[in-house]
Amino acid sequence: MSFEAYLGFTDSTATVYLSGDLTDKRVPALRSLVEHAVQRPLSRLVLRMTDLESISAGGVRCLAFAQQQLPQGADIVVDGAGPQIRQMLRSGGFDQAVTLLAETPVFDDQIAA
Amino acid sequence: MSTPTLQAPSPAGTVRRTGRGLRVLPGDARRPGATVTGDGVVFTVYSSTARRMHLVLFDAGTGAELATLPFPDEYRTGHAFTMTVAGADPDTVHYGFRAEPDGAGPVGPVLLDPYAKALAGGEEWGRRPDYRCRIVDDAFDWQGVTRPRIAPQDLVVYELHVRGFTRGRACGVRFPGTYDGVREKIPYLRDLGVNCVELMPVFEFDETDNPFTDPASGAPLRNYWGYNPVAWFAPKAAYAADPWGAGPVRELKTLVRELHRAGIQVVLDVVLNHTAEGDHRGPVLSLRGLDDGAYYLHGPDGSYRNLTRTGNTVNANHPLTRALILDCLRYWATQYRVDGFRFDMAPILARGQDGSPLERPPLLEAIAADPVLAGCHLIAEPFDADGLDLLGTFPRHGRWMEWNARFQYAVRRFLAGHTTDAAEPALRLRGSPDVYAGHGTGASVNFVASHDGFPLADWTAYEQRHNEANGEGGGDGPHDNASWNAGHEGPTDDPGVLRLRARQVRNALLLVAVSHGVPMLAAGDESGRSQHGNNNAYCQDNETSWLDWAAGDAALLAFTRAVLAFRRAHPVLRRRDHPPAEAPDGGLPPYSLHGERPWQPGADGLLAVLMHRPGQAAEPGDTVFVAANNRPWERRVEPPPPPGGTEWRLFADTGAPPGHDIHPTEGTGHVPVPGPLTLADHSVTVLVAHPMGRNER
Repeated sequence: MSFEAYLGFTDSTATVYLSGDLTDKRVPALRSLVEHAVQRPLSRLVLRMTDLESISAGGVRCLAFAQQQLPQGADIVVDGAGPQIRQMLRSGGFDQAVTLLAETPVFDDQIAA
Repeated sequence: MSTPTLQAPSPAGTVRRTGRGLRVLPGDARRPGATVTGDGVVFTVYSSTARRMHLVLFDAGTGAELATLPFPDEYRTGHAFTMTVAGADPDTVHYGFRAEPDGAGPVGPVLLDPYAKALAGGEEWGRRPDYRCRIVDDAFDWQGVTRPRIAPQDLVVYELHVRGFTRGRACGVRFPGTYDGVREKIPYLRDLGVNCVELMPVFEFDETDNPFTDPASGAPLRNYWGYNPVAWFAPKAAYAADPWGAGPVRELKTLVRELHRAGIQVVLDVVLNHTAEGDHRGPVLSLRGLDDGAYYLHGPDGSYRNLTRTGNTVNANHPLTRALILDCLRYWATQYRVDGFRFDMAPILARGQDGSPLERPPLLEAIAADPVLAGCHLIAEPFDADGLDLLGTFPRHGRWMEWNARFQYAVRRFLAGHTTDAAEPALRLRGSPDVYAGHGTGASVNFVASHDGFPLADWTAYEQRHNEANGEGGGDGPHDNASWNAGHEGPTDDPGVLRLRARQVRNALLLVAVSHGVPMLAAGDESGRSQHGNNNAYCQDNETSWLDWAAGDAALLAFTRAVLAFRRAHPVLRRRDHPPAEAPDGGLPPYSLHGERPWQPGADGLLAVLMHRPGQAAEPGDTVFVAANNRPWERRVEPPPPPGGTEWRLFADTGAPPGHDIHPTEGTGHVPVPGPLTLADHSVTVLVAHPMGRNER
């Protein structure tokens, strides 16, 4: 399944929607979105992975890069990640640095918006 | 993008070939970091938690990954991953590491080398960095310039922010806000009379790492001060006029060299108590990914101990961390030739691995005893954000000095009229023997204002903090400032209020300058810098913080120069040991208290001190009388008789209008004081005993 990614903002939350198979070849597209997102002052980065089928090592590295780029105190929330992706995040050593959720969350500020 | 990796194992000691013309040879476990040798670049990194480690090489021009090279197992020694990479051009490649905790491959973040001597990716101030490590050549032409040697009691410290010092209006330098800009201001520093600059953090930090925004514009606020280090060995690149390549290293070394050439020492404000990695939500940049348990304090549940209110707390007395900190200090002392360090939240360095204070913290002892650091000033900020206050009890090992907050508080309260009891300020002027008994006057760094809190001028103009621009609703910053606004909060045209404020600024500068210990000024206080009531300007990368060279108070600047020159000229103010209150030979005591009448201390709101140093061999005696009146009325004070053969002469009277408050004590224009003084309200007067008939023209 081809990989697609797009980015949306709600107040200080950036949400990256990911779907398909994230291969090393498609990592630059994700990296570009991440670089764009972190140029704004963010309190939260949500990675919506419900429709993400698989992730390559390069994709995990890209998410690690995103985690490095966020300022202190900003949260990364990963929602809907399947078991394979969760295992990859653990292998990347930053599963402790993100909040893993099974379901799509709605944040208070999004309700207010 | 695919990157070349090693394929086949090979016996220890043999050369391994990779793609891109790189060859891998055995490294050297004793050399952490990246070291250029005749064989190539030796890379070594320590981690007890990684099963494998990978070196990631980047194109220095584009930042693109060039290669990922696993550290061969056969080159590993203990927890030291090491190898030499031949064919890696230090000028064209950057590097980082990827730790592999569980054998799943190098999928984690690129980690910065804790020993990285420079970082790329943060060259542009205000732009989100994308850090990589540079390989640095330590060679530098010091041009035979040697370090000035200055004893603690002879220091005059000037605390400055590299960017803010020359970023403001009319600074008149070629590259405002840079190391080079500070270098251009060396003549100003010399003329002012300081002999030591204390640079606020210059370790690489990320100024964009601040979640707060300007409430007026919504623009992100910067972490302007830089108390959030990313790499302890690397200079802040964006502070360099040439931030690329070797520019920052060269430029900071040049600044140190030229300050030394001018006889000015350099002390670095070092933040070793926490890092920019924050808590579990913070970025995994370096130490967290390499050996989280060794470098940071954790609670029983594994969470980060937050004793610094920044998210994490460095596990300073873990042996691995201790070695890193010592290596860091040695590096700055040898390769940059700095003359000392001011340790931010130093009690963190006195804590054990469970976070509790240690009786004999091994790190502090090791720093004090280190032969390489033997010539360095070691200055502790003796309290941390968790309430551990070691002022006066900091483990000194005969070396450590302290920011004396008791001096600050006592002098502020007395001058502000919050107390009429002069007993405590009298102790502070004596070098705080009650706090530093047996350690000499040099243990006490005396200041009334620093980067923390109100600048000196604001201390006379505000009683409340005005920090709304910090984006935290105005609730940040210290609440108790021991300040007095002279009757009106903030700006005013009232000449009476302005006159009082001018006096109070001069009173504070004068008392700092005549006190035993190490005087410290914050940059701009010598010319009336204001932050408009903001007492926590860590995020104000704008005119609030920048020194405005066009708005300086010329009369105040002249006053400050004069009082620092006075201190320089009078050894009685710079005695190494606390002067006793009794005279050993029945003559004048080295330090005595007085009142409106000689030898009758205790007058309400009057601090009157005689400091006397008898003549010795070729050195003439030196005697100074200081009288400070904190009452809102004029009072008459009779100074004690001057030593035989001398007469009192007026040096300073802050009750006089600005521009008329300083007098020469020799030659034309000197003002004899044959009888009692009349002290204006809220004023300080300083007299000096001058040999009768000497140096008269």
